[in-house]
Amino acid sequence: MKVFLNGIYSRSESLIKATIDFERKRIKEEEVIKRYEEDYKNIFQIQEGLEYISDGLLNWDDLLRPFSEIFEGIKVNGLKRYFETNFFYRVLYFEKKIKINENKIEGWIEKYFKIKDNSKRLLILPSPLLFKEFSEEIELNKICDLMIEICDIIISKRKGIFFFEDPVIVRRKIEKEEKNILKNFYKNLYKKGYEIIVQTYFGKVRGILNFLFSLPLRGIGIDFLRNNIDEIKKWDEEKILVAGCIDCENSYIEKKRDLQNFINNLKDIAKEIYLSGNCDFLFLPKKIADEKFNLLKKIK
Amino acid sequence: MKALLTHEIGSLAKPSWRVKAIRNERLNDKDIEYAKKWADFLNLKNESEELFDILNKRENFNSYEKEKIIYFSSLFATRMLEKTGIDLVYDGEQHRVEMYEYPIKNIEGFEFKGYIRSFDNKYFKKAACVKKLKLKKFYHVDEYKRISSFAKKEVKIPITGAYTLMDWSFDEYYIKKVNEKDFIKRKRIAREKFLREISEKIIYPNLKSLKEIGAKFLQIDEPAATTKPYEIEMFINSLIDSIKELYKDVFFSIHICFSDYKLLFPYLDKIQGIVKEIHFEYANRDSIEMGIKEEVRKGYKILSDLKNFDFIIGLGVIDVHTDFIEPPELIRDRILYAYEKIKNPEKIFVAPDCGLRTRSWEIAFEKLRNMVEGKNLALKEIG
Repeated sequence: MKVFLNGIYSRSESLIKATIDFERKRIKEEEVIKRYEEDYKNIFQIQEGLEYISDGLLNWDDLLRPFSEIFEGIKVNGLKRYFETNFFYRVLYFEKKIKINENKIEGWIEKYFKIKDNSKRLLILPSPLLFKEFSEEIELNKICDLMIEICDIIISKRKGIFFFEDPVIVRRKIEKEEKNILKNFYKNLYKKGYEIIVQTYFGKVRGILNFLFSLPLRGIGIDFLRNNIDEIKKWDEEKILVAGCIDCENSYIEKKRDLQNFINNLKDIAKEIYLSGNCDFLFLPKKIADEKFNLLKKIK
Repeated sequence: MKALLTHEIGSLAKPSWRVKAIRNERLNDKDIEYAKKWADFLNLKNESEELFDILNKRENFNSYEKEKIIYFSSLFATRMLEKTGIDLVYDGEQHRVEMYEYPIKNIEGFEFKGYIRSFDNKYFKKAACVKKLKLKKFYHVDEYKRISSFAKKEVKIPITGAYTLMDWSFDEYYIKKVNEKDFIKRKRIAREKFLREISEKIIYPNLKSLKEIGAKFLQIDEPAATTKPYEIEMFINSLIDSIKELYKDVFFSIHICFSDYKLLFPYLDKIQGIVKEIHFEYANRDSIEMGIKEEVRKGYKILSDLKNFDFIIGLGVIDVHTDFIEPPELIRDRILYAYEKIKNPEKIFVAPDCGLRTRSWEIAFEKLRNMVEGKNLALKEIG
């Protein structure tokens, strides 16, 4: 079975210690970088043999923060809870003039989109709705414009598939106007030849699935901790089903047999299936995240 | 109640000499100088001779020495808060690891699983409930006794609430006990059971033990309260289960931060009379411009809704996530804005947004001293 390492991944205890020590000025930057490298090495290792590789976004403070470094005109503001978790994002405040800092592009890509050898990358980004949720003073269509600009830059330096994380779309009613903006956004990316997956989590897909099917997406991710199979019985066969079937919100390790049974049932619904966590692995300590991710890889 | 009573919200940073000694790391000259500097500043030089003797050993502290080091960090922190001029004091959690790990360590049935991030490079050690819960000991009694033994002002003890302990923990026990096919329903039933057990078997006995030794101000910390909007009623019920009849003798405040407070409003009337003060974070959402105009004091807008309830408003006027020292005039304006809404200064308590543990003592001191000065300026204006 194919597997995606979705979202932000957990940091090792030695990296955690290094980031704390660095902030408290107990160690030098080179030492933290060394610890990051060790974690990246490990994260590439656990994805050995997978089609698309992620670096686990280990140095992303949250899914939005890197954008405050590449765009001029963004201020990083206060904390806001990340949905139902005990993890907090910082809200981005957009000043009137937003501009990409051309001089930073090369370094920014190197920093936030690491690759191993010549591997295809899982290009994880916040969906426009998620971006909007944690931003101030910016409209959805403007966010879409910025995202397209960013996608162009990323794809000029990295090959891979865009993977938009979108809890918002399954958590509230999406207005007609918003749907039109999103439709245009994904159409624009599709026309450029980009492959796109939208991963939903923290909500039920029932009310939005037809809209998602109508978008030119390569695949759609479902949080199966909150949705049961009946809700996706009429799957669009052209689309990849990303099955978020590992519980990244609780520490107990799923039984392989239960997971296998669940996946066997999915096989009748979708032609192409990738397995993933139901949300970011970030919410688990690394040891447990590794154990759960390795279990995913064992499912047939 | 005193008009515009001031207090802090729990945690302070732990001084390096305390952290290193407990972690069995070697102390350097800077650590010892730091202890001396604060002893000097707090007029504790004479009382601290024993501390300096111990610290001069630099490493390999025995359990008696470690205990003494904690005693002195508690004394220093309490004196530091007293020196800022605030009305209710505490020792900034010098006896605790932090607000989650400390209680969990004192409850049988939890097992630590490892560290996870809470934001940026901040982490906490998360535990899972793996068997039936049982209180190992009343885990705030010694702390209260010690702080009261040297505090010159009234002591307020913060205690992590049941909902937060439940929500911040994994559950490997209750979920297995529920016989329900639908995973979402199963999870909900399990969480209800888990929460009730913590409220009744852990938090209530702890609060009662504090009341019995004379504690008059208890603050229940519930940063997780609004995490799951569909569980807010569960959270409110857990407060009632945790406090029971104790509200008759003790002043209870509840502290909730970085949350969507409006979600609480439909349920707050259930705890009127039980919880006296509701403390939220406001400064984090506010501008740092002076004035009391609506567009400037944008972080305090929910006061318009809160004024309709019968609570004392715990007003966060200090942003705990920045080293920016709020000038007294800014704090004054934040208070005056609140006064415009609430109208009664006895119904407003002034405090930081949250605990100041991510700030140095120097910054925390400056911020709190300005908070008291700002309160005095506001009082003058109110007359």
